[in-house]
Amino acid sequence: MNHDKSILGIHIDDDFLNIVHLTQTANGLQVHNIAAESLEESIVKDGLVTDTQVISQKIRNFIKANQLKPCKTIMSLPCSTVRLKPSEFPAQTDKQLQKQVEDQVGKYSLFEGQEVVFDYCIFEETAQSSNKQTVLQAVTTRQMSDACLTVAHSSGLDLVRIEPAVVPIIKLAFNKQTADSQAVSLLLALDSASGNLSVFKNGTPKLCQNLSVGTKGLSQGKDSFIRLTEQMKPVLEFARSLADSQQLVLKVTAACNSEKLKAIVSQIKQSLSDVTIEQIEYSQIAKQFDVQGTDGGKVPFFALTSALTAFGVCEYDGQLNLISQESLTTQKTRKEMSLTAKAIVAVVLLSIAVLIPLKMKIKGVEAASSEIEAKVTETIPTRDKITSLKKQIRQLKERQTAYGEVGKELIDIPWPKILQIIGDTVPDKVRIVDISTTDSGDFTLFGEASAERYVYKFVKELQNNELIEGAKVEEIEYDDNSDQNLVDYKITCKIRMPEGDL
Amino acid sequence: MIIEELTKLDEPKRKVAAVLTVLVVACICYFAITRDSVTKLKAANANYTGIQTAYASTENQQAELLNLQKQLGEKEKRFQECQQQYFGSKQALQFFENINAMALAYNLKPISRAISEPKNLVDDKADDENAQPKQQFLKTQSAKITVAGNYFDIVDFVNQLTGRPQKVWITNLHITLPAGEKFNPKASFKITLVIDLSKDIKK
Repeated sequence: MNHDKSILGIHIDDDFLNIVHLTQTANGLQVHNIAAESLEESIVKDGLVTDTQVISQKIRNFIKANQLKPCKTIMSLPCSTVRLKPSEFPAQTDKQLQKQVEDQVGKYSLFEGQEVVFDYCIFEETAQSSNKQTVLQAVTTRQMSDACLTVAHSSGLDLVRIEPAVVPIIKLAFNKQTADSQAVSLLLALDSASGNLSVFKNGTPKLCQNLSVGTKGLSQGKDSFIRLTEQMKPVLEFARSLADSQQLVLKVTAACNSEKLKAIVSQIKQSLSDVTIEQIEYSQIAKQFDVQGTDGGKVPFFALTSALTAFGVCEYDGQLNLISQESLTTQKTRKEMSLTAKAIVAVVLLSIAVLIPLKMKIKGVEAASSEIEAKVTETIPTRDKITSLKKQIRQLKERQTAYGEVGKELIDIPWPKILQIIGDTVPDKVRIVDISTTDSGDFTLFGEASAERYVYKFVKELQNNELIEGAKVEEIEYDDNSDQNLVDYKITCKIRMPEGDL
Repeated sequence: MIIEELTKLDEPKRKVAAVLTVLVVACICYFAITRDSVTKLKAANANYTGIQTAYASTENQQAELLNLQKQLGEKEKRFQECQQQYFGSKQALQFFENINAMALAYNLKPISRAISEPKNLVDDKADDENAQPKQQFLKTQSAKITVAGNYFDIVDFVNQLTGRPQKVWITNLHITLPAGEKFNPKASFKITLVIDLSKDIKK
């Protein structure tokens, strides 16, 4: 058994959309949610879903109401839409068998030349020595298969299989124990508008016949029962031919509630007194496979059996899948194209969306540029100012240099101070007659004194002055002609020039 | 039509086709829609960078301008200090004209006053080729002065001549007591001053 699995079984007939949500839990299989929604006329006609949108919407509503995550789905087709044909083939490789089946299906002139989809499953022969194998072929129209595929796609379901509604019932009702028995049994499966009657011997199908009477008709009047009996008659005769003198067992099941099935079975019993009639219903199957969550609920039987077979509860594990690979590829391509288109739109939108920030950025940069440019333009006079200032500074430097030249050319000797010093320091007994100067800062004093000592005193005084250096008595001459014994003198002095002036 | 063609391809090829289609559309979108703006943005950014560089250099110019203004201010201040030491032409003329009056004011007797013509500070002959015509705005002018009077009055007079904002140089100073004279010596000297012709131009 598979674990942690969740399966949606969907069965659509002309009057009902049946859904069963079955999961694998630690306690076994559990029916979580069911739905049996009646459908208005013309939504499904002769088993073909004509209004896929309505069906998809109902499925989506179911998923939404039960808060289901997308899970694997198996859809079962109404009885009348699938032709089942059991055939015997010699034991051979799968590839050879597939080719043989393909050839055989190609020869059928079913469904009025419509494009068909087919599959097959192998039923093992009971006898070990047998070199033959029974193969159950199923054929339906591609239109039928594609309608289911469209419904599943629109509902967002992961469709793993489309199978004839009767196949899972066959798998569940005929196990290897029944295969061991030599009894010939029949299975009558009825949906709302059609049915299927199959003959089994040694647990393998020998004949499958579609019936045009369903539960809806049978619940409405006796005429339907008469038609049912008539349609069953050739199949029963075939079964009797296989069974020899053995009692035939007819197992009856239907896509309706137990009470309705009971009434149908009761009517059939009255018509077929020489056949043992057995009723198969969901409670029986639920008990057999320990399926939880079916108490009190009217679980859609066909949808339940479809979901059940996905968990591998039946011993026949061969399965029929009527999904058209071509349709599947087309659908996948459409999906890929849709994604590609979305990607292209996204790329275009992204390109356009990128334009907005780009334009804003350009605007911002341009604004910033013009702002700075304005500032730069404002500073153009600065260059002229700098040039002018440099020129002014250069001129000032030149003029200052010229002023510096004045100091070199003209020596500043502080004659007023020197004269003041001479005047202040000359003793009373000394008389100055002449002061001669030179431009280099030397000066000579001539005069007369009453005594020589006064001359030296005068020189000493001059020497003591910080402005004068090198004052000395150059000459002393006594004046003999004088009555007062005067002394003529000559004093030479040098002015101490402040540093830098010379 | 397209679906039928694509259905014929296997899944990897379909995926490659889808990816290529999206890439082609992306390229078309880039070249048709986005590229123009991207190019414009690049150009705008380049322009902005250029302008920023120019602006940075103008900032340097501003700094240089401020520095130069400061330098100029300092130099002008020093220059003005220097300039004050020199006479303008009119100032010099007035100064020379006032000398006798000043001597009289100090109780001195003006004996003579000989004012020479202004001449260039730097001798053109000496400097011939290296002469700086820029200095020619400075001239010197001299006057030979002879006064007689009290020694200390002479000292005060000389002091008055030199003790003014403009510089006055005294050379060839000679003070002598004339024969027969006991108290009033005769002083002769040459005063030289510098005339700054630029002062006249300024005025």
